[in-house]
Amino acid sequence: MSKEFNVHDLIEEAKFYIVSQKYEEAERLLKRVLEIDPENVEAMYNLGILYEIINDRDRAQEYFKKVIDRQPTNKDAEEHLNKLSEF
Amino acid sequence: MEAKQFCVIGLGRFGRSVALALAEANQEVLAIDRNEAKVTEIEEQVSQALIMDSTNEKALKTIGVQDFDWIIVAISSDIESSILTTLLLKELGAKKVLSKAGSEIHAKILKKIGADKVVFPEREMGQKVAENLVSPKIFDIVELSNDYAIVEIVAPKSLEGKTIRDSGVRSKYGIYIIAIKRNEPKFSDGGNITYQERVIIAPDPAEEILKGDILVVLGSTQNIERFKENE
Repeated sequence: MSKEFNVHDLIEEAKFYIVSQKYEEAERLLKRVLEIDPENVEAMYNLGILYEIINDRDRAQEYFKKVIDRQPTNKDAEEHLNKLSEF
Repeated sequence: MEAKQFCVIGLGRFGRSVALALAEANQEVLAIDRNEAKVTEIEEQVSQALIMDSTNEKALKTIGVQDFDWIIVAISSDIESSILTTLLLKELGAKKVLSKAGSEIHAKILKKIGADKVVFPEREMGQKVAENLVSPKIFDIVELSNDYAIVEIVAPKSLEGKTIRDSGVRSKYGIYIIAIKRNEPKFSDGGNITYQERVIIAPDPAEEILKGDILVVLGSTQNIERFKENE
C-alpha cells in the first residue's frame, strides 16, 4: 500500500471518529498520520479542528499555526486561528 | 432624538457588538468588514453592510467618511490595518474616529495619528483576561456580587462520561451547573469537519457530561475555586 493511500484512509477514518465524538481515537489516528508523514497539512488542520471542538484552545492554535506556516494562504486555518485568538 | 450616523469598520467580536448595540438603539449604522461572512452575518440587523478593505483609500472615499458622526475602527488583530485605516479616515475628513487598541503601544500610535478616542476594551476586561491566563480553562466570568459568580469552565477530565447527578458537584461543592455548551461536530457538504455549538439550558440531572463540554457554573466564588482545584 502506498504511503499516500494509507495516510488518506487514516485521515478519513479520523474524521468519522470526530463526528462520532470519539475524540481520543481521532487524535490517535491523526498523530499517527503525522508520524508517517510529518508535513501532512490535512492532519494538522483536522487536529486543530478537533482541539477546537473539545475546547482545548491552546493546542488548537498550535496546530492552525503549523498549517499557516506551511500554507500561508490557507484562509480556513487563518479564520479558525483568528477566532481562537479572541478572548 | 434624531438618529446619528455611525460607521463600524471591523466586525470581530467587539465591532459586531458595538454595531448591534447602536442599531438596537435605532441609530444609522454602516457596518464594514473585508470578510464576506462577517458582513453577511450582520447585514439584516444594521442599516447597511459592506464588504470592503478599509486600507484601500479609493474604496474608503466612496463611503463619504465626512458624513458620519462617528466612525469606529474596531480592527484589533491587525495593527497595521488599524493604524492605516484610522490615518486615512482622518485625512479624508472624518469628523470623529474612535479606534480600538490592542496594546499600550498601539493605543499611543492611534492617539498620535489623530484618533479622537481610543478604547482599550481589553483593559476593561483585564480581570477576565488575567483570570483566563491564570486558569486557561476558564472562558468567562460574570460576577454577581462579591461572593457569587457564574463561570464558564471546560469540563474537568474527572467528570467526563458522568451524568450531572453522578458528578456530585452540587453535593460536594455546592455549585450548580446551569447550562452546558457543547460543540457538535458534523461533516460539511465538502466532506470537511465543522461543528455547531449547542447550549443546553438547565440540563437534566441525567445529562451526561462529555469531553470538551463547557460547564456554565453558578456558585459562591469560594466553592467554585474549590471545584477548580479539586477536579
